Order: sequence, then C-alpha cells, then structure tokens
Amino acid sequence: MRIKEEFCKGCFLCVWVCPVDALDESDRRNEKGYRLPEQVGRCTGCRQCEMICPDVAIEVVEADEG
Amino acid sequence: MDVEDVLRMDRWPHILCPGCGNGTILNVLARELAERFENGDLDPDKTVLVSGIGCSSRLPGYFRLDSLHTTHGRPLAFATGLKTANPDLEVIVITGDGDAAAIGGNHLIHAARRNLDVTVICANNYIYGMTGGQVSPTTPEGDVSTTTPYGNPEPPFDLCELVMGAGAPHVERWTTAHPVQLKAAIGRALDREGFSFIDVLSQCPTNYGRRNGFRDAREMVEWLRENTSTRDEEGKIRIGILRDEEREPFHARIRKVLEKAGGDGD
Ligand SMILES: Cc1ncc(C[n+]2csc(CCOP(=O)(O)OP(=O)(O)O)c2C)c(N)n1
Ligand code: SF4
Ligand code: SF4
Ligand code: SF4
Repeated sequence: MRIKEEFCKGCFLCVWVCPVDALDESDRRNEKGYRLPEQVGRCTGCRQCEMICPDVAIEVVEADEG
Repeated sequence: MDVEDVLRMDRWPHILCPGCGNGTILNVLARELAERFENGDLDPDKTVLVSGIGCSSRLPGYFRLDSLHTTHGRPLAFATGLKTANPDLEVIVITGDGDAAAIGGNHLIHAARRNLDVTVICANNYIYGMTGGQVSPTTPEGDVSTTTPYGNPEPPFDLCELVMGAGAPHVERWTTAHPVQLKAAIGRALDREGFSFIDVLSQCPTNYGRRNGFRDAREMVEWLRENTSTRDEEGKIRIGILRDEEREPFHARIRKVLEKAGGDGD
C-alpha cells in the first residue's frame, strides 16, 4: 500500500479500520504538519483503509508485507 | 478507470477538516462511479451531481463530472427539473441533514412522494457543519450545539422513516464506519429506478464531536459502529436496507400526461 503523504490529514481512520492492525500512527509529519500513518504489519489487501480515508490519500496495491 | 480519473485531484487536498465523514462519502462514491464508468454501466457524460449548500454539498465540485451546486435546501428542486426534462441522465443528489431536512424538508418529502428517479445521498452528521455547529432536525435530544448550549430539547427526525412515510421505494441507512457496505448501497441506489435514499450517519468532529464528548474522528466512527446494527436491536440504530420496492417514477408519469395532451413527450 502507498500513502500519498501530501494529502494526509492525520485523522488515523485508516489505523482504526484496519482489521489486522497492519497500520499504526508514526511520528513522521508531512509538510502541513499532520502526523502520518505507517505500515507496521502484513496487509491482506482488504482495501478498507483505502475506502474510509476522507482525503483519498491511500492506494492499496496488493497484499504485502510493507 | 481509476478513482483519480473521476476526481479533480488538482484541487487536493480538499477543504474538509481532518477526519470529516463527508470525505469518506466522497471517496466511496468516486470508487463506485469509477467502476461503473470503467465497465460501461454508467456514462460519465450522462451522470450529474447536484447539491445544495453545506460542507457535504461541496462534494460535487471535486468530481470531474457535470454538477449543479444550487441554493440551500434546493438540490431536489433543481434535480426535479433536470431529470424530468432529461430522463436519460443519471442524477445523484448530495445533501446534508440541514440541507435535506430543515430548509429543504418540503422538497424531500415531495420528491419521495412523486418518486423522482434520483439517488439521494444524505450526509447526516446531526449538525450544521459549515456554519459552525447549529442544531439540525436530526440532532439527538440532549446534544449540545451552538444554538442548544443547554442540550437539544427537541426529538430528532428519523430521515428514513420520513421518506418511507412519503412513499420512497428504496431506502437504506449506513454509516461512514461501514465504507464497504456504503459503496455497495450506492451501487444499488444507482441500479434502482425511482427515488433512492441513503441516510449516511457521518461525523463532524469539528462542530459536533468536540462539543459532545468525542475527542476525535476515530471515537466518532467507533461510536457509529458500536451503536448501529443491521438487526432490530434494543438501543441500537437500525442500519441496512430498510425498503427495496419498485414504483413507476415521476418522469414516466409526466411522459404519459404529455402524450395524452397531444405532444410527442419531448
Ligand atoms: C437560504 C440560506 N439560509 C441559510 C444559509 C446558511 N447555511 C449554509 S450551510 C447551512 C447548513 C448546512 O448544514 P448541512 O446541510 O447539515 O451540511 P453540513 O455543513 O453539516 O455538511 C446553513 C444554514 C444559506 N447558505 N442559505
Ligand atoms: S485515513 Fe487518510 S488522511 Fe486519515 S491518517 Fe489515514 S491516510 Fe491520513
Ligand atoms: S488494505 Fe491492508 S492496511 Fe488497509 S485495512 Fe486492509 S489489511 Fe489493513
Ligand atoms: S465543519 Fe464538520 S462537516 Fe464541515 S468539513 Fe469540518 S468536520 Fe466536515
């Protein structure tokens, strides 16, 4: 999966929705100062993070280890 | 076709606040449309988005489609003219709880009664988000808004019951905590002929959440997931397909009148 960092607003709905805890909050920030999510575990490719993201900032490519 | 082909990504990031439920609605609508444009189920040149005024009503401006950003409460009035004069258009109305049920309440019940063939997506965040958080007809009793600082003394409208009472044949309720189901519901609404209404319980973290004990958008979607059910459960809001019927749409009835009156229907 890919996070378009410039569009992210740090709401972490992606972290909340992921059923396998593949995402978590990171300490990194984008240019606007919003804290970014990061992939921390295996992604099953269910696409729920891609769909819930209010800023359309996530693209799930396929299931992967990150 | 990809979601980025349907959206005006040159306008990104959009104006909605972090964690705004309107963004999730925009997201799943764009994905459902992209799929339908790709497989030929829908023609982008014949798909029109209509909205009123509010944060939710800003959504059409982010789509690479023809759209009408109308006046507050009036998207269904504009949609009535659009669809009746051009029955081959797919008309999708995006509205808020204030837009649809307060200032636009009469248009809502009459569009349902007439069975106007449109898909209505109502972003129901219980509040007037755009203007700073005034009470709306769906604000739960007791909740705090700028105009009800001591708690809302009024009982809220159940928008699905309202439009079903007025005759709407296809009615569903989902939430922004259910993006997969919401996308499927939009697909069904596009497939149905007649008035399709989707009540989308949504979060406004900025002007509703923080006044009512929610620290952020995550706590709000968590609440939406925990307090809704696809079964009739005590103390939970019923979500899912609430009615799925068919009834002759308004534009077909009007065509019959025109034929009787001696015109050719155009
Ligand atoms: C005729 C008119 N009256 C009032 C307003 C002010 N106004 C703008 S948006 C809005 C309410 C929007 O609430 P809602 O439809 O729930 O949308 P949200 O912003 O919450 O998405 C109001 C009262 C207006 N623009 N026009
Ligand atoms: S849901 Fe989207 S905007 Fe929110 S933190 Fe995740 S990537 Fe960023
Ligand atoms: S696509 Fe991957 S990261 Fe996203 S919610 Fe599903 S499992 Fe989690
Ligand atoms: S004020 Fe509320 S509804 Fe409007 S963009 Fe912000 S969070 Fe969304």
